[in-house]
Amino acid sequence: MTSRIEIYSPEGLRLDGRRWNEVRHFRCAINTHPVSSDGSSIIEQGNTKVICNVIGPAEPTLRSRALLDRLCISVKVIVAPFSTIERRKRPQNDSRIQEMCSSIQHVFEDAVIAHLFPRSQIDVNLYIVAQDGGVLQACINATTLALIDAGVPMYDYVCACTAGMLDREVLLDMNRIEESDMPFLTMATIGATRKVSLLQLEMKVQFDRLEPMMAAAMSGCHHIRNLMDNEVRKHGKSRRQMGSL
Amino acid sequence: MPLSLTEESYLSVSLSQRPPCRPDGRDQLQFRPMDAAAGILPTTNGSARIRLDDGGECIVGVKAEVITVSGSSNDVHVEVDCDIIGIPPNSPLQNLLCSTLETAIKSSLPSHFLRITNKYRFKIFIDGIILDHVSHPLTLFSMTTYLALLDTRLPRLAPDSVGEHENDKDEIGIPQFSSDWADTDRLCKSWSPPLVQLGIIVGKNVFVDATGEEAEVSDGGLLTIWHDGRIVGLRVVKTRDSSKQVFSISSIGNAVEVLASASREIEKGLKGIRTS
Repeated sequence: MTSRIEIYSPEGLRLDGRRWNEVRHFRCAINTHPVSSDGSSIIEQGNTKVICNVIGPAEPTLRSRALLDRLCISVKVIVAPFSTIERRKRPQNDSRIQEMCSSIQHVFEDAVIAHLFPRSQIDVNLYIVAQDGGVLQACINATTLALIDAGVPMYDYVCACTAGMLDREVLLDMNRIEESDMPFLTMATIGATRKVSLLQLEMKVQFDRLEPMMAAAMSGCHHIRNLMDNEVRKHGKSRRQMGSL
Repeated sequence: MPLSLTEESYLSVSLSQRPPCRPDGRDQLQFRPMDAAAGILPTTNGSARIRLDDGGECIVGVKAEVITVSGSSNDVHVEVDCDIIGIPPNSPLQNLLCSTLETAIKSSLPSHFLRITNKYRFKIFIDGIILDHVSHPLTLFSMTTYLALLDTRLPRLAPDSVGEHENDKDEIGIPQFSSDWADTDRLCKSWSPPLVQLGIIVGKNVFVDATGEEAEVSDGGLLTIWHDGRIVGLRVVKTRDSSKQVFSISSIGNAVEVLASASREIEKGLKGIRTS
């Protein structure tokens, strides 16, 4: 692929000065909205910023939505008009947003121990306030943290990461400019295992190059799991010191 | 949850007493504690977030775009839009929020602030998301917008693309902006944005920052637009479905004074917040 910008320099540095296997600056916080929701989190991955609010498990607002044997999760993604470089207002029923909602929903329906909460519902609201690539991965990571904050039992963290392929070079955790220039995949794993719960690739890529991309994305997921785990433990410790546990 | 008849009568009696007694022990002019931050979003020209004690939260991002205009029109191009989570778009509440602020900003912002050359202007987009609200979101949205506008910076023209004289500015074609973010002008250098304040009226008393229950027993609401140290606009709004919206003239006069002093204090508080 040709581009005006040098995505990956011969010295092995990317646009923002990272090496191929480095993730962007990762910052997360949990229990950020204690009054308005049962579980909440904020995730910043590079310049992408996502706020997540979880309400529930609670009785469903619509009786017809209740499932008799397990929990039902409904996901809503709100994209702020000011989140992109060019201001753009998207309707709520935008097909890309709908698709993202349903993939997040499917991932978490399998990740939470759903049979413990029959006939109840969890509402997940995701607010994308700034986007710079890797929106889906940030949404999944934010939802994981918010569900943990809400005290919903889960098998393990669900962590997501992207990886792209530039010629023969694998690049981990891409920003917006890199995403627009090369094929990339988003992968979510259950904790630090090799179990993949989501794999999304929307572009053409040679078959033999898929495996290195997946391997890189998986190592990125494991790294992000550690970062999130540190934050959750730090939060737990501070709560214990305050005497609220 | 709707109030029972007993609760409603207890609340309305204690609020219409003189001096009034609010359920949380606040003064008529006292706000609940809130948490505000400015300059939180890197993709905007200016941004702010305010969170109230009851969980109500609003995020506002201001973005500027360059548009072409024909002739030397003096229109101020500002668009205010907000998304209230849990309420469908184009609801009366959303229209009230957007139209009140848009008119207030358009009528107070001098058009030369947004002028680039005689052909090009900045258009300001103010977008808000109200993540959650328990009480009426108008004051919250207005305060967050105020803070976001204080934080707003517009880029200057690149020095090498502009000639020596002020008139040469009009000769250049497509404007080229300086790529240095430090080389920007504050939108609020010599202009302070309007601030909309909603007070609820119960009997002869007026209250700012009303909780949901207080609004439930009110006779109606009065919104004031505060700009440059005085009240420039006034409007009566419905705060509940069955409100009477009948006030005596003296209670309106009193309310305007009370809201003006509340706005003065709020403005002072918001100006003290560090912007980026």
